[in-house]
Amino acid sequence: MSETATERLARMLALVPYISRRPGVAIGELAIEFGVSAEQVGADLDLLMVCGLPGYYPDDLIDVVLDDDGGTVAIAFDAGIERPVRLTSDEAFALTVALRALAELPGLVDAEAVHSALAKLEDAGGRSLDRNGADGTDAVRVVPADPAPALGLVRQALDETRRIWIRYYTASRDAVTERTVDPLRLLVTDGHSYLEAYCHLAGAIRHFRVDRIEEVRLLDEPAQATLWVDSDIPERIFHPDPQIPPVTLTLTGGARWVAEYYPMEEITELTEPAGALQVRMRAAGDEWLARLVLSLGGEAVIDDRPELAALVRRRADEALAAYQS
Amino acid sequence: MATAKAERLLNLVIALVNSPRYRSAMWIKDKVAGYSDAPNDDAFFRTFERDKQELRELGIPLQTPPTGEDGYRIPPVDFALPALSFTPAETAALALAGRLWETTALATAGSGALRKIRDATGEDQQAAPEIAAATLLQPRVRTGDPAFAPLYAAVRARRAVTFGYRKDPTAAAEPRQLQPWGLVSFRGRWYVIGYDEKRGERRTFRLSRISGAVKAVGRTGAVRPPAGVDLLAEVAASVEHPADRTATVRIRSGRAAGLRRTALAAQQSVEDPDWDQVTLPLGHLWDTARRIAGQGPDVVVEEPADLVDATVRLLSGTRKAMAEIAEAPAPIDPVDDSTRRLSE
Repeated sequence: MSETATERLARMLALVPYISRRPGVAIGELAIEFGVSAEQVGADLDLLMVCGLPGYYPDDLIDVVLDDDGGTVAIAFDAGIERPVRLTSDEAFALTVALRALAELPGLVDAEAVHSALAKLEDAGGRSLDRNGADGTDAVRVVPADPAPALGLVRQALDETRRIWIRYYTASRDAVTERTVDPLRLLVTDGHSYLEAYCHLAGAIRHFRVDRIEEVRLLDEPAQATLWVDSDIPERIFHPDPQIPPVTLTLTGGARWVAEYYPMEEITELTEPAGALQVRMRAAGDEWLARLVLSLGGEAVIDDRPELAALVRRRADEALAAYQS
Repeated sequence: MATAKAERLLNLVIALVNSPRYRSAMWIKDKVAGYSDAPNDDAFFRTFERDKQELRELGIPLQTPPTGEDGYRIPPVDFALPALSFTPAETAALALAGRLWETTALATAGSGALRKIRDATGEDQQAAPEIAAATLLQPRVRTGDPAFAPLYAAVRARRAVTFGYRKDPTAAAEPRQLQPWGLVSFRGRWYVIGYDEKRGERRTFRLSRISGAVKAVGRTGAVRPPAGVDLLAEVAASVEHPADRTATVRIRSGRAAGLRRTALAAQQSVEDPDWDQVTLPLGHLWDTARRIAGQGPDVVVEEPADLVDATVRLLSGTRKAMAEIAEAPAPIDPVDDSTRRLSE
């Protein structure tokens, strides 16, 4: 990976305020924060130490204090660059678009706080927020999640730690079920909001797409507290049945979106046919997979489950027979 | 080389930020480490011009005297973020926003912005950005479409692009030339909106249907989006095909709960009690056809004719793709399988 001098300069200019505010910070932490190797951080610090005020006498140079034993670092003299540089237009753009996106999610975050934060940033950023004069940040718009009628009550249940009863459409089984669940958290990803909850029907933590909650009732019982929740976004919103073996699909052209839309164990770009992907996925079930493949009109092919492929073909045959009469 | 340049740029920034007055180009050449190596003045000015440009891109503009004289400085107020102060709710919103983008240049820019803002707030707010509502996990917007990065770059640079596009999933990719006005993420999918140069009109394209490379063409800054265009409304209008028609389908009893959720009317079939006659809203033809084709023999379209055709095309496509697969031994009966799972 070759880095431009500008990228490196940007990182070095950010390192100084970061270290200044956290004297004794570990090199390893800097590497994680800035997404580079510890060696690169070391090289950056070495470079900082030879830069400074014109004259370049020892007292003019940035004084980086390395504790080699502890692997920590502090800055004794910062040569006047201890404050973070104004946002670049890319940074201001990414943040502004994201803030506006959050404001589009009614009920999830405090929309007023989003707008006031945005206003403060615009005051602080001035020119760098928009170099073009026109409001270029409108060029990227994001609706992070669909509106969902159940969201208000779900949010209320979370805030009040109340158990809820829901009527829920399970897409993987193409069926509607009624469940009692203890809400834990809301997740927003892939264009939808999900309720993470302990499901008394499944006896486990499940994710429910909020727009698929057809009916919700707040119960009088408190939601049961959980001992432990993962602080990260679960890698899989879907809970594939471990009994079901993984399947390999080849996706061509218009079916490539499947590789991104659903969690995959493996994705391989194929050269033949060009633009095709081979994916390995643990699906929600054979029924779900059969429906998916049938809906893709031949752009998804099952590679390693001949009996499932045969089932899909038989279904296509049977379905077509109904149109031949 | 890159190290020497980074060192020179950093020394230039430090020299000009700390300078109480404008410094002439010759002062910079003589005093700032890294510039005195230039073999002559021309070489120095070439390097210096490039360096000024790169600093500008980093958000560090060099100021020149209003009188037009030779001189440069970086006023601290232009260089650094001012001291910022946010309420806990604003801090939580900023923390969520800075990490909204999952991948690509946007993610790097977002986390960089967040770090700067955090380091520009007072000491007492050090820990604050980590506070987010405990019941709301970090929202994410994926940007993994291969077409996203080049289109994002083109939108930012206001350059036209060319790409191959499939109008519907069964069609071959056609070459397109677009002046992109912007990108929209709607319902978890990305769209690019712009002026289609060949067709001479405003169009919306779904990124997942772009095939092959997106190439930027023409000069930077050439694309001028019309004033007041609402990209989100454009996408919503093209995606949310108003269900201006209805379709009549037969659904086997107890099957296809998903399709039934959207039904306008349903009644048991008079001729065959194992089937229901269901009226569905018909918006986007192919999306509806997909949902129906996915149900295989459990759903049969009766009308309209174009929905019958689309469904038959999808089913025929599947049959053709699966034709080469040898008939395997009889599988587990899928109907039993599904009954077992529903009753748990």
